[in-house]
Amino acid sequence: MIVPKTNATQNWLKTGVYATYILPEPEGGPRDIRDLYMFQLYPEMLPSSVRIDIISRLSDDSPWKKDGFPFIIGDCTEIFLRFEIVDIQKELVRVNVSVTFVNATLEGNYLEIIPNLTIWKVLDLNLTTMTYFDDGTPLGKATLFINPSDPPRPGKVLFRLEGLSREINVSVGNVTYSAYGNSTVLTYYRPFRPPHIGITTRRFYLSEAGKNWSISGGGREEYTYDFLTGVMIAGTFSHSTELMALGVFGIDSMDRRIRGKSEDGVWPDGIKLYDTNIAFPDEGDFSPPDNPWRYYLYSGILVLMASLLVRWWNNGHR
Amino acid sequence: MKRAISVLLMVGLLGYFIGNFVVATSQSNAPMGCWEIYKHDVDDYVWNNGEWYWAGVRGYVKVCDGSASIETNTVEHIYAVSWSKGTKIIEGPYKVHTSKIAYTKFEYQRITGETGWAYAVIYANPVPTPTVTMNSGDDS
Repeated sequence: MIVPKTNATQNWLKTGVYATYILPEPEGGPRDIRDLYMFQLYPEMLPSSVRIDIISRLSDDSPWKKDGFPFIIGDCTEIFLRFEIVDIQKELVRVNVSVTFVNATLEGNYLEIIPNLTIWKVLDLNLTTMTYFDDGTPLGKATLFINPSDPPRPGKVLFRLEGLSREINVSVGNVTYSAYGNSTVLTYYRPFRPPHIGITTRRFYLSEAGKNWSISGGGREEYTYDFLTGVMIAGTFSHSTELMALGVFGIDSMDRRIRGKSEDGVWPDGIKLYDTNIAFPDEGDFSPPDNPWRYYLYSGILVLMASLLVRWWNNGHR
Repeated sequence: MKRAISVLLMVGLLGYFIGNFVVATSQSNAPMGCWEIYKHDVDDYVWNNGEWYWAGVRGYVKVCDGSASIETNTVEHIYAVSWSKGTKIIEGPYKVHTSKIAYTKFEYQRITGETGWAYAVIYANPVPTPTVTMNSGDDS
């Protein structure tokens, strides 16, 4: 098994670096209410400005207002997810994470369609533990990118789902350095050749009911990462640390446009990379890595040539 | 005599208008018109080899004075796959209902390894008729 070198892991991590993921509108546009993507907001954790805006849009008979349903269910035609590195100070990284719901409707109120509902927050990330913090409270481990030489360990808690009376821990199930085997993984940005790092969570369940409402479900999340950088290239991403930190309990994770195998590779399930300015090391030009060791390499070649020259001279120029 | 008749006619006419006005503006104590609609949705499919999946949701929506809400105690969720043929449910089933939305959703996996989602949903509010517009669909 090949494990990436430790010092090569987080070279991509620089201020201003971003990546955008998309769950695109199905081809031909939404034809049916089943073609829409659903999301569940947990108002208690939403950034305050968004929370005020969203609550003001709810009708008086909203299940969240009237029945104590913990979430606000909405739907939309497209979902964008984005992270951007805002600041790096030694072990502390500030990450701006945002999610945008296009043509969003809250609780089925089709008289009011929000063209772009964006929720964003700047999260503090400790690079050593790869854990997000909000005012000193740990939120969970990063799922948008990982440290490829030190990925989350099986059995460890990845994040907690908030909103229900019983806390739900989502923990790491399986970590593999050979996700999708020998297949190329396709995204809307570009194909990624093997190997890939794959993390699946353990199966989790949720179930709760109140007066006039009931929610049950659960599942297993699956995230796929670039082998050298540890940046997520695709994920089912129904639930994640970053989403929960934004106050988003869950989103739909089925890509209604593309799925399955093609001649070029495999389209993974769920949300996929769409745009980024990260220079993935496996990309394009095959120039040697830019680090001090190249001078060692150059000096070796110089010594070799010098010794050849000396031998040729001493040998009577023949 | 003529005068008495004209006074009676005028009083009658006035009474007619006043009466109409009173009826039109009065708040009736009688129960408002409520009615119920049965709503349902199904997502199902059968493949050539006999594998199938089935997701469904149904229930009554009560409409009173223009506001609609799902009668949550009437909601039923249905989910099934051809387990005997090796089809599996790998995520969910999510069964959610509130007075506004009710849905059943799960991810299935066929014996070929192919995966997909089954999804059925009903809304309390009337949903606008979907517009079948052909977007050029910008593939990036």
